[in-house]
Amino acid sequence: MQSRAICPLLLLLVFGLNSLTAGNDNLAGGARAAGMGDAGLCLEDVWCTRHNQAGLAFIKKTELSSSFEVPFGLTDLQTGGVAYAIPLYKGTIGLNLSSFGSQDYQENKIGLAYALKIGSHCSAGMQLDYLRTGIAEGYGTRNAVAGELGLEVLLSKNLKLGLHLNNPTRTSLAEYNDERYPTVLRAGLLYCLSQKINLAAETEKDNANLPIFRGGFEYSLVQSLIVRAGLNGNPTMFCFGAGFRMKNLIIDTVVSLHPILGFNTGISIGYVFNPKA
Amino acid sequence: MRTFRFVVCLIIEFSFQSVHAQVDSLILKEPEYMLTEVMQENLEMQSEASGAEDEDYSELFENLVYFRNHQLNINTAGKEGLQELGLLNPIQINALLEHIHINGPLLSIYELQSIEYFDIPSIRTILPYVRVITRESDTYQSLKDLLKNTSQQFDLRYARVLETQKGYTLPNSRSANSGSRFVGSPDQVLASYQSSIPNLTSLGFSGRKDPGERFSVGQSGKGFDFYSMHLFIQTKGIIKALAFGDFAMSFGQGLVAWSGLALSKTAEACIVERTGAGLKPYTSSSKTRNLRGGGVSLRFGLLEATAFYSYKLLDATVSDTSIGGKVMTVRTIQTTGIHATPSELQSANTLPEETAGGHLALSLHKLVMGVTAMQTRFGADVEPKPVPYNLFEFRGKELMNAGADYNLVIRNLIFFGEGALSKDQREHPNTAFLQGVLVAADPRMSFTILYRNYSPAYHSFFSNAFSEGGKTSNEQGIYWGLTLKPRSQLSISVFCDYVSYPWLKYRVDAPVTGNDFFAKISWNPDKRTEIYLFFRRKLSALDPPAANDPDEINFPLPGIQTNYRLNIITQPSTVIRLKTRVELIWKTDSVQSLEQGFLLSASFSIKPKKRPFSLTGSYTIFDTPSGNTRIYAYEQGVPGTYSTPSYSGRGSRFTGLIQTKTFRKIQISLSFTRTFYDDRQVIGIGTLNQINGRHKSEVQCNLRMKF
Repeated sequence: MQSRAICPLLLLLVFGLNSLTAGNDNLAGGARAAGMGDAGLCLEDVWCTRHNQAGLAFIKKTELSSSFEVPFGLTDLQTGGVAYAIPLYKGTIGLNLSSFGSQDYQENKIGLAYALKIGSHCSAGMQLDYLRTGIAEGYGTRNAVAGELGLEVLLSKNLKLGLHLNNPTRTSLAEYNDERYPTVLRAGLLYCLSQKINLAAETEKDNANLPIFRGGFEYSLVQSLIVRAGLNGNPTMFCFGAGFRMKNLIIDTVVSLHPILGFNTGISIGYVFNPKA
Repeated sequence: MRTFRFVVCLIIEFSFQSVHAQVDSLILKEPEYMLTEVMQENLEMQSEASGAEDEDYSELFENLVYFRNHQLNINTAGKEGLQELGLLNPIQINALLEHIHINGPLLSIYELQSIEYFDIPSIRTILPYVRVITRESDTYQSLKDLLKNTSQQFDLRYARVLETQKGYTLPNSRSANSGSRFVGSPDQVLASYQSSIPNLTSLGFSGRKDPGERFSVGQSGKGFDFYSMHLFIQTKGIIKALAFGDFAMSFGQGLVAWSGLALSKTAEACIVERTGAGLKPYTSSSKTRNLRGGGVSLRFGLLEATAFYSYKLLDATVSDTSIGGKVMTVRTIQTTGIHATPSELQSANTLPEETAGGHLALSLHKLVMGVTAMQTRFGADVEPKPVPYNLFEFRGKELMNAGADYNLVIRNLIFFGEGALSKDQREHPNTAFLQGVLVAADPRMSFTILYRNYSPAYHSFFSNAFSEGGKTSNEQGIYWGLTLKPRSQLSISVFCDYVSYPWLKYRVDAPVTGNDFFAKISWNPDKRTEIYLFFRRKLSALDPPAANDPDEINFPLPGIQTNYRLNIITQPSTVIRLKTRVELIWKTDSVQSLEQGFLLSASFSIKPKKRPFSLTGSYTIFDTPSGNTRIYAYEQGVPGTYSTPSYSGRGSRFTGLIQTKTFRKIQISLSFTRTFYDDRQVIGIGTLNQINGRHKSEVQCNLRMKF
């Protein structure tokens, strides 16, 4: 158990502590969801700790994953993160670390989540976040605590509804201009057309920006290879992804194309622990 | 084994009795030229993209008309025949051929349902055009047999706008300038004759006179403005096809040689792959898309070699002539083919164009590869206006093209692509490239991705590849399409296209980008009703509308157009079919002013049983602020016409169409349309088509004889 806890910290070091950040739009969310146009609200994997904590309740095995992306080849925008989920006798706990930016501007986040199944068709989750924003040249850093709530409902055998509310408390970032962390509500659907195909669509609205629509799908071409494509509405991004499944190892990659800024690439590497023999 | 399959087929047949009935009713009811709803929608999208309302789309459907009369035998059609049908996607074709390969010929049409990727709607679509015969001879046994199969068709079409248009009035005495009037009468006349023996020959003549053109009779007269003639022979032997006179050709994905029409983005989001048909007789009434000369296609086992040659006189604006009157330099090449004004007559047939080329294809079981080479030579130098957007335009006399294409099927994936080079007087050749993949992930879902990159200086005078701008030049883009059928009654089609233009275009003074998103949900609650809802959002950049000074450099600004449409088709009885449409359009142009437009349309068609006539009518009310927010809607016209009029301004439109069949051989169709405008006293102000009145009416009639 102890060695498992150390693992995420090690991975975090590997992926560059020098660039740790977090913020609402700059969170590491795993390359699987990114390959589907970031429509990851209802997916069931360890990155539920980013997208919707309620999904953690459906996870059956302990899972660890780390992700890294360099948007448009700009190291100042690099985003890295680690997610960890442990199913317990009742419910699942999750840990999420995310970091964005460079020395000049950084956003970091640590989240601790708990999710529970309510009946057979429904699950709920919540997460407590510790957020840190730092700006160089004497501007200093701000720390804050925020929360997230998630809900997932199986509407039918192959259709799932997901809802997620980030920062309902409207946590303050700075007193100047009453600046607050964004409050974001997401709602989406996941449709499992067959065992090989998942389709996802969702919408997101925060208190400041225009609504965003996203959609995507994944198709398991052969057992160990999954291809994905998706569309992120704002900014318009075409996303393409590939996932590889090798025994316990999960590797997902994403390439997304922004009309003006160019290519954004990301990878996440995960490990699924076998249940204790 | 075969007995067992026969029993299985029988069981399937009985268990799908409802489909059976559906199918039969469909075959009986639909006249041959009636387009399905999705085809109509595709034409509307095509017209909107090209801005052409009265394009002759008949060549897109001539295969269907042909197969309607000569049903394709699925068992013997082979890959080529099934592709020619144009209604099945490559994965379905592959699955069908595989099925025949493994299990032997189909025993009944209902066996299609047991093949993967064939669902009821797609079977229903192809049913009128196909049949299943286990044993059939492909060749004609005797002369009598040959004569029996010969079909001849004669068409005469007449159309005219009833109101007096400015171009046909006498010129005003003060500005006495005959150049501002049409030279001929406002009548449009088309006559065509075609005689064909299926799978063997086709012989045809046609003549066309457009409104405003001269119909000259007497000694100097040549009658129609445009004539077309073709003789086409095809055999099962070495000579696959032999074309004389006017012909069409299409190879690969259309980067080098594709003389006919082709649809790019359509409501069928996953159908973006092209299948070149090789040489074909030219049967369109369009005046400019033909090749004139001859071609031959030879077959040697897996190899197929095609060579063609064409010589034509094009219309071009002459900018320089030699002392002897020989045309030395031309500025622009006209593509309308209309010779109605003195200036149009002046530029008529001024530029000789000579084209020669060939295609070599190798067809293996799952891989088709081909190379194309072509050379075009003009009789005079082409020298476009020296403005920035013409920097990469074609200049000179000669253009060489070469390309290589392929199509590969691996399991349920289809890869296709073409790469091409063009070499004009510039130092280096320029490239064009297209690559796509279609994945039939599940019988209920498929998706496609297509990437294209056409350099601004790439040219081919016969290219027509997948594009947003309509030209296989100066465009890069990535297209992503998805079709989904979660339930049998429900289907969803989504595409998104991102495009960038590396160089300037007319009225776009900077390299810009754009995107296009389309989503459509259609619901068929039962066989009599079809409801669809669509949404389209298109972002494109244009120079500000006020900017008219050509020498000034403007900043193109993005504008967004959003369309919403609800379309309901229902058949309350077997005799009546009703269609209702509501369409909303929002447009913010480059200066961010919002325009909103609206269209409401209701139409019906009645086809009494056992009576030789049908009646179609529609009434449309439209209200859009300007031509920027025009809405295109398909309208059924007389046979052979595919009209997608655009509605702009405030007004209403009435259409009536009556079709009768007398003596079984002669079919007479008559249509009348009248558009009333409530927001103007004069229609088409400032043009030669100007009408001093609030309404514009048009009559069309068509006489068709089959014998």
